[in-house]
Amino acid sequence: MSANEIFEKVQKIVADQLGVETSAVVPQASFQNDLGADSLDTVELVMALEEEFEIEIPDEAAEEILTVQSAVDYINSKVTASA
Amino acid sequence: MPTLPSLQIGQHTARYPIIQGGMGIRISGAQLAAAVANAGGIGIISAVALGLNSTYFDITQTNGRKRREQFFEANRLALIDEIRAARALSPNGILGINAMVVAQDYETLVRTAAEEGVNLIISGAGLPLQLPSHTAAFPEVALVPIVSSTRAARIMCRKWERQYGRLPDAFVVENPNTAGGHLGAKLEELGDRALNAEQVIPELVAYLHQEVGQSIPVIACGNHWNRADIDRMLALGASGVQIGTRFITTDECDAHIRYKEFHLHAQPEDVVIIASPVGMPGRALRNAFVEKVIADSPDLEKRCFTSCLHTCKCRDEQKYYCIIQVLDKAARGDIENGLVFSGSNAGRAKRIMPVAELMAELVA
Repeated sequence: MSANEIFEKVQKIVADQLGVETSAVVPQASFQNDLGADSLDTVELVMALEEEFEIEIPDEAAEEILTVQSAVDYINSKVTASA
Repeated sequence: MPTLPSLQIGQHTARYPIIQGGMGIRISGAQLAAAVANAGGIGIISAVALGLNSTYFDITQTNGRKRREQFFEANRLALIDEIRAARALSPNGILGINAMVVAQDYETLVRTAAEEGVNLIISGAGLPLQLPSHTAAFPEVALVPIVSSTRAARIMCRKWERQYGRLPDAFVVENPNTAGGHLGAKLEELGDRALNAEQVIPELVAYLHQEVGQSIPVIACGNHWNRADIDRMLALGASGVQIGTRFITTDECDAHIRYKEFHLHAQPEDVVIIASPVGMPGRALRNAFVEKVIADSPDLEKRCFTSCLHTCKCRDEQKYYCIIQVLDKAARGDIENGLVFSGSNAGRAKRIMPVAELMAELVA
């Protein structure tokens, strides 16, 4: 999966989970500050990403995933590593 | 009046469906928890910052690093003492602790409690997403998250089931509109009827029954004073209630007598909502300290004492006040300069009574 494909999937999941327009889900957007996610949203989002990409995101890693780009980067490193 | 049903949580069955809520710092300790457990309820020791008022901690220590190290070690040792004291007073009762996820030493405290043989761990002030990993060696310890919505309960179930292959043994459902202490809602959400037990309890019970397919007890918390309140919650589908404030005005409550008398003489209009450095609103009794918080007085102590919390607006942004120091002050009897948490029922107690008498009244 290319980084671009990952981004597009992440973008759709984030838009669905947080109820925002896909166009608002830009790489530098912060889930909490820009997209209005609360602490429950953040947990749900990480679980949705785990399901979609069939990966496990440990809690320590999840705490570092604060922006769309950081989610894409983390998933990219996991998916590439297991490919 | 029909007899109240018993309450089973995990492997433990209490004669009555009443949990005494954990109240910190040192409001619900060994004395109160053991008395409730002996009377057929579930007694809960608040595990927060027990070291502060213990022989293991030197409050005059001026070196910040040494003070922090000593504080966390004192918390652990004082928790062991408190659990053993409660167990000595109630060898066969059901005893647990309440631990806050936001506490820096949360993992140590819940692991210590499990090692010391508590029957259950109730945990809120954050979602206890990793709690099962801390107590994995003690499967007999029941794990009970505190939530204030079906959504949070659903997240807990999915996360625990996926990561640990297990589910919570019960849920405490706090109603932020009425409960005491820190509240699981934002300030602007308070008053929203969607947070009330009448909305959340039936919805959560239906979710657990239909989608999780397990009978996980739901415990209602907030605004329960008497048998009629308990019956009302059971009729909504709850398996029990958690009661905090009413247990403050008892002989066995571990707080200073002035703290109990302050509660006894409070009026309903004294109950106010204040900001807390934890980042959640809190329900408390109006006093000189609360007036200062409302006025954001420069007199408030904003120096961080031991970095006791993961997220703290006092430590990180120099806002509000240092919460453990004011909670400790209140428990020691300085009810003007301390923070006296309270549920919305303050002022209804007529006298300070023995726990056995209160329990007999609640179940009659």
